Amino acid sequence: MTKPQLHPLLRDATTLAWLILVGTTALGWWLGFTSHNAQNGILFTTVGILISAFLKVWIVGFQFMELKHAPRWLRHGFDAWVVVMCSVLIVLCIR
Amino acid sequence: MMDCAAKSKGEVTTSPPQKHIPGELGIWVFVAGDLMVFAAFFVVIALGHNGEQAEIFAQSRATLDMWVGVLNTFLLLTGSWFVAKGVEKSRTAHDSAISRYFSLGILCGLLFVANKSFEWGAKIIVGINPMTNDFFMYYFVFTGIHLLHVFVGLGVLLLVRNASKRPITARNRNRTIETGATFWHLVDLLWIVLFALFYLL
Amino acid sequence: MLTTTNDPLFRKSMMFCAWSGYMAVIFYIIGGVILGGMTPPLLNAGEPPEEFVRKITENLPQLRVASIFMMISFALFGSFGAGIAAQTRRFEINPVFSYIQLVFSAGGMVIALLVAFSWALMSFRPETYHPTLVMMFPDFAYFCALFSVPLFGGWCVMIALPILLAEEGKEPFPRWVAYANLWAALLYVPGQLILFFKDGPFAWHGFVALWIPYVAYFGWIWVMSIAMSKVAKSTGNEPPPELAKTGAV
Repeated sequence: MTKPQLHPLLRDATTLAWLILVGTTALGWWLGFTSHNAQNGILFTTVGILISAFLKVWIVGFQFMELKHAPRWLRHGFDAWVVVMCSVLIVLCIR
Repeated sequence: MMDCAAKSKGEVTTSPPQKHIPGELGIWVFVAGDLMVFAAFFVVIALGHNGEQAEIFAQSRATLDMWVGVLNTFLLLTGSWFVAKGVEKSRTAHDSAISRYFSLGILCGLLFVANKSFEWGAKIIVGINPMTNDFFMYYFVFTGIHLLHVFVGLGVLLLVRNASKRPITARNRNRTIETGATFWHLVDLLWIVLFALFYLL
Repeated sequence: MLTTTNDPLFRKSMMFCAWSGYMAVIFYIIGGVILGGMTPPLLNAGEPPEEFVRKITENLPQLRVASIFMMISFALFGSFGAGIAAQTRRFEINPVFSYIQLVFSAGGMVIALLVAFSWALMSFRPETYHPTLVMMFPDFAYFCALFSVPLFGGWCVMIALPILLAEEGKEPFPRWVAYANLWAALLYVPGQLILFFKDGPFAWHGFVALWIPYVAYFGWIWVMSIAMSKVAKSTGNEPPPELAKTGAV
C-alpha cells in the first residue's frame, strides 16, 4: 500500500504558505489587540508583532515570489533585507 | 512507476528550472529599489512610535479599526495566493481556468481598494485627514503611496491575465507572467509591514 | 542606420550626449548643492516672507553665481535627452517613441530652465520686491522642479516603454534600464505632495518630497549617461541587421 500522505492541500507548498500567513496574521491581530489593552508585556507584544510581520514577508518572498528557486545571491539579498529591517524596527520600537 | 501514479492523482503544477530568476533581473532591480524606499518609510514610522510624539501616535493608532486592516491583509494575501497558483498552473496550461486565477487576484485587489476607500472616507468625514497630526500624515501618505502601487498592480495583473491566455510557447509569455506576479507580491509584502506598524503596534 | 562601428560621427555624437548628462550633474552639484542652497534647502516653506528676504539677502553673491551654474546644467538636459531619443530611434522602423521622448525632453529642459530663472530672479533685487513676492520665487522654482511628476516621471516611462515593448534582441537599451526608469519615476512621486504641506517631510524643503526626487533624478541622469557612453563605445545595444538597413529618417 502507499504510505499515508498528507491532505492534498497541505502538500501544496503555496497553499500551506497561505495558511501560515493567515494564521500569523491572526496571531498578529491578537498581539495587537492585547498590546492596546495591556499595561505591561508591551515589549513582548511589540517584538512579537514585528517578528510575525517579517516572518510573513519572508514567506511571501520565499514561496509566492519563488525565491526558493532563485539564484542564491538574490535569495540571500532578500533574506538580509528581512533580517536587517526587522532588527532595526525592533530596536527603534522598544527603545 | 509510483511517480506517475502520484502525479496523475494530484494536479500537475510545475516549478521553474532550478536557479531561475523569477521574471527577469529588471523587476528585481525595481523590487530592491522599492524595498529601500519603503525601508526609509518604515523607519520614519518607528521613530514616531517612540519619539516625543509617542502619546499622539498611540492615541491616533487606537482610532484605527484593526479589523479593517486585518481584512485588507487577508484580501492581499488571498490575492497573492490566486496569483501564485495562476503562475504555477500557467506553466502547463493556458485555458480560461488559468486566467481565472488572475481575475480572482484582480478581484481581491479591487476589494482592497473598496475597503480602503471606505476606511479613509469614514476618517475624513469625522475630520481626520493628513493635516490632523504627524501619525495621520504618515498614515495617509504612506498607505496612499501603497495604494498607488495597488492601482499599478491591478493594471499589471490585467497584462498578466492576457499573457496567460496566450499559448505556452508564445515568446516571453512566461517571463511577462512571472514579472507581473512578482510586482503584485511586492504590493502584498509592503502592506504586511505597513499593517503591522500602523494598526498593530 | 549603420552600426556604430561604421559611423564614427554617431559615436562621437553619442559620447557628447552622455557627457551632457555627466556635466549636467556636476554643474548642478556646484550650482544647486554647494552654492545655491537648493539642496540642502537654504529656505523653508513654513517660514514667514521676511525670513526668506533675510536669508536671500545674506547669501546674495552665491545665489547669483549658482543660478548661472544651474542654468548651464539644465540647458544640458536637452542634448542629454535627445541622445536617448536618438538611440531609441535606431530601433524604430517607424518612429513613435523617439518623437515622444523628444517632446518630453524639451518639456523637461524648459521647466528646469524656469527653475534656474526663478532662482536668479529671487536674488535679483529682494530688497525692492514685496517680501511675499520674494517668497514666491523659490515657491515657483520648487513647484516647477517637484510638482512636475507627470512630466519628469512621464519622461522615464517614455524611455521604459519602447524597451519593454520591443521584441527580443531589438531593445534600444538593456531591459534593466527600463525597470530603473520606472523606479526613478516612482521616486519622483512624493514631489507631487508639496502642494499639501508647508512643513514636515512632504513640504518642498522636506526630506521625502525634496531629497528623494532630486537624488533619484540626478542619479537617473548619471545612469542614462553611462548607458549612452556604452552605446558610444559600441558596447551598447545595436539594432539587428534588418533594422540597420532602413535608411529613411
